[in-house]
Amino acid sequence: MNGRLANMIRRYVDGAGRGRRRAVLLLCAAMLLGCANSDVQFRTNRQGKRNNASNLPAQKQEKLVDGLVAAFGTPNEPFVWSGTALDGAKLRRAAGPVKDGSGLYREHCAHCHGVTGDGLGPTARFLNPYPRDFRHGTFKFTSTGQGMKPTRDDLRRTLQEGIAGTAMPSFKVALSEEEIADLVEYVIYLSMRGEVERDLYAAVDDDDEIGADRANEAAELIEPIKEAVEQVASQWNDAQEQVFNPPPRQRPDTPKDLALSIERGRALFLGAKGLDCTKCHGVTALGDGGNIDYTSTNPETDEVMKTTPDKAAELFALALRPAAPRNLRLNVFRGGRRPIDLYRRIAVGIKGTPMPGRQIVQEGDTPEAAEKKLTTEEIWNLVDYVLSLPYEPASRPQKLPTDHRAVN
Amino acid sequence: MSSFSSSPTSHWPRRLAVLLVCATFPLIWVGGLVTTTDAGMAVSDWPTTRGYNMFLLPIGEWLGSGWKLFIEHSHRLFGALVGMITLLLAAAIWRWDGRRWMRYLALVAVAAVIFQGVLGGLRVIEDERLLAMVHGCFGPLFFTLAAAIAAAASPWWRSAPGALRLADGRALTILAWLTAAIAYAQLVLGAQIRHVPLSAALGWFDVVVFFHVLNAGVLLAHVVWLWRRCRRTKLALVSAPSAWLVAILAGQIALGGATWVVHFGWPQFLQDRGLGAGYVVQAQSAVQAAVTTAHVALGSLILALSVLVALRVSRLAWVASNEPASQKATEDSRTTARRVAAAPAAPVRAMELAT
Ligand code: HEC
Ligand code: HEC
Repeated sequence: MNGRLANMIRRYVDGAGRGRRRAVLLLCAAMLLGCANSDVQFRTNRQGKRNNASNLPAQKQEKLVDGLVAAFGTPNEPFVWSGTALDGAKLRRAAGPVKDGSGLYREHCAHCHGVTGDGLGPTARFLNPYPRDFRHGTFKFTSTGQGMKPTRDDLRRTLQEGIAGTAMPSFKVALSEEEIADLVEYVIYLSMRGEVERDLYAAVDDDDEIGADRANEAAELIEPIKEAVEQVASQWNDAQEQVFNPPPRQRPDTPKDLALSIERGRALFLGAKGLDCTKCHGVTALGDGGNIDYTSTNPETDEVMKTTPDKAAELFALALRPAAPRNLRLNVFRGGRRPIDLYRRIAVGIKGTPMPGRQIVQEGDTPEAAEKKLTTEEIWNLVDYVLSLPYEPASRPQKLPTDHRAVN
Repeated sequence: MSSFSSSPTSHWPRRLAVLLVCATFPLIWVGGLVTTTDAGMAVSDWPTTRGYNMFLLPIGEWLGSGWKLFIEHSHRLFGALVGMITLLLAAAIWRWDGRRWMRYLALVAVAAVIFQGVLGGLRVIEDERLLAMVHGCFGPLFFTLAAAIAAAASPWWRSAPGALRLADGRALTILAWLTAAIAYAQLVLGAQIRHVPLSAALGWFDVVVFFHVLNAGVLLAHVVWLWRRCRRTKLALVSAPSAWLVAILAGQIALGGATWVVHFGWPQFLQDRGLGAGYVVQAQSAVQAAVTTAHVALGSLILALSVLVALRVSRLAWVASNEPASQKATEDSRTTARRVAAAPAAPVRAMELAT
């Protein structure tokens, strides 16, 4: 029954846009669908687009939920507009109750990331770092440029390898490659849904005349939903082609060259060219630079802590923690330990954390402009230095190993 | 065979009870593994398996349809085996054990095993978290009941030698039963962690974990105290299991910590000191499944052992307080022998008396 409803809605949505009658029909169906699956539901984002913790009035809340159901379905019956380029079959295998052919997400992820993907699963409060809140669309360990969404391959890699030193498990043993692909699709779905929700929140909140006709009200949202969905979907789709690859590098091939590169990296790390690595990671790179910063994948956290810290408890479900700069001497790199992984971390930064990206010298930069930027070679020097750190005694940072790769 | 047919009393109730205990413990492991590996819903029908009568599922399908079906169906078969042993035990007790309460206990065991089986089946049909949790909490109770029957069916039970050394058994009895109750509470709390509902409010999990850890400390204190009190009786039959209890509980607490680590990684404060910073949690790996299931199964063992100690202590206290006061003065082999003779048809083996 619900499957048929969902299909009907999808057909209407894809054909909708103009006909108001169609939209009304669609929303009636969507509301039926929403009520039928009242057991497991997406939680609404109470934080909203603005730093405004108060709930929307009931009618507005209802309107928002109706609109979202129309655009994304429910946890048991997910669907998406064809413009999102998401694969519905994959989504249906990942969503729904745990049984043969569905429920992957609820079985493997929801107790940490929450049914809604809001990072508020039952276990969340105990974990450090907290599980990712997918709704902000920001992911840390990506191969794409600054401010970009991750590629499917980045997410796949996270699920496959896990994230060392955090609760995020590796699913290599538990899941097949197809199942991981299903879940990656679902993570993107939840993330899109979360971002659209935040956009709609503003639209609904601004609406001063909410009528009594629920279907009519929700129908007003069709256009804003379409816009929001298209925008976020295009960000995801663009990212798939925007892998951030440095120009090929001439690797230091003698121990002496490598030592030289490490030495240059060390100088940069310690502040040459105005780099600020030590501000956070400390001179010893033990992560004790003392910088206190609440930046997280939720774009509001740091600002709230800087302006109205006493409102934080009201605004965020989990107590905010300062982002801990990493101890770089543990030989643990959460985003992967290949030189290319570290290159991307240093050049692009780690999104949703204080760890900043860098400007890289482009062809045609004026000498003054280039002076303030890093060359790719300099970033490789930093990579060599970071990779050598675990083998450099913290007390005597002068003495460097000659060939750390041999130990790796 | 001779004892089976000729003697009015028989070793059979005891043998079957011990067999039941030995079969139920691995059943609890398998059951724990079903939950640990999320295999519970691999077969969505019951009492049939994939439409087959559960005993007639082709072997190829049982072994060859993946881990989840294998483990779930094995759990069903194993459960059926335990059910049959329980029936045999009940029959043996009705045939050979004259004690009325023992016969009722046997009936309770039969009812319990049926109840547990149906609960497991409903859990599959309804796919209900609450049922899964009750099923998980009831298993250890059945295991404990089996252990209790085995204890009461032993020749030692009838004679309770050395009872008189237990000058005042009341305090010890209360302590022992309290320990068992705390052990069970611990198990129920554990089940709440394991079956935490996805819809749980933030904070529910925290509260349960907090009490699980707190109660672990309380249980440890109790168990150590119990052991020290039991040691004073100088009766190996109570002091030995209570010592085991301490050792197993210590292992269990370590396993509890390990269970946390294999699910959520090492705590941050240890990582800051370099411990476990590179550890990657492996979802549903063999290690994760083994550690978690061992933690679950040892919980049952601790409960059963603490009830065993409590039963023996109670028995000793009961015998001691029902002896004429004059006999309390001296406890020698003669009084023991007399009591043995007075007990209805109790074959006391020398070996057991010697302890
Ligand atoms: C035991 C808790 C736990 C489980 C189960 C879990 N995660 Fe995570 N996950 C985390 C934590 C904690 C993080 C944050 C790590 C960090 O910030 O470094 C995370 C991060 C992520 C990220 C973000 C990676 C990035 O680059 O930002 C994704 C995507 C993700 N998880 C997906 C999943 C999926 C899909 C599943 C189920 C197959 C899952 N997780 C299961 C705890 C968990
Ligand atoms: C404003 C603070 C800040 C500055 C400046 C900074 N970092 Fe970081 N860095 C962080 C934080 C915070 C993390 C941990 C991010 C996370 O995973 O949550 C981090 C993580 C890292 C990692 C670990 C990546 C991984 O995969 O685990 C490396 C390597 C690193 N930083 C290198 C550098 C280098 C080199 C510089 C200077 C060019 C630098 N950082 C500057 C804050 C900073």
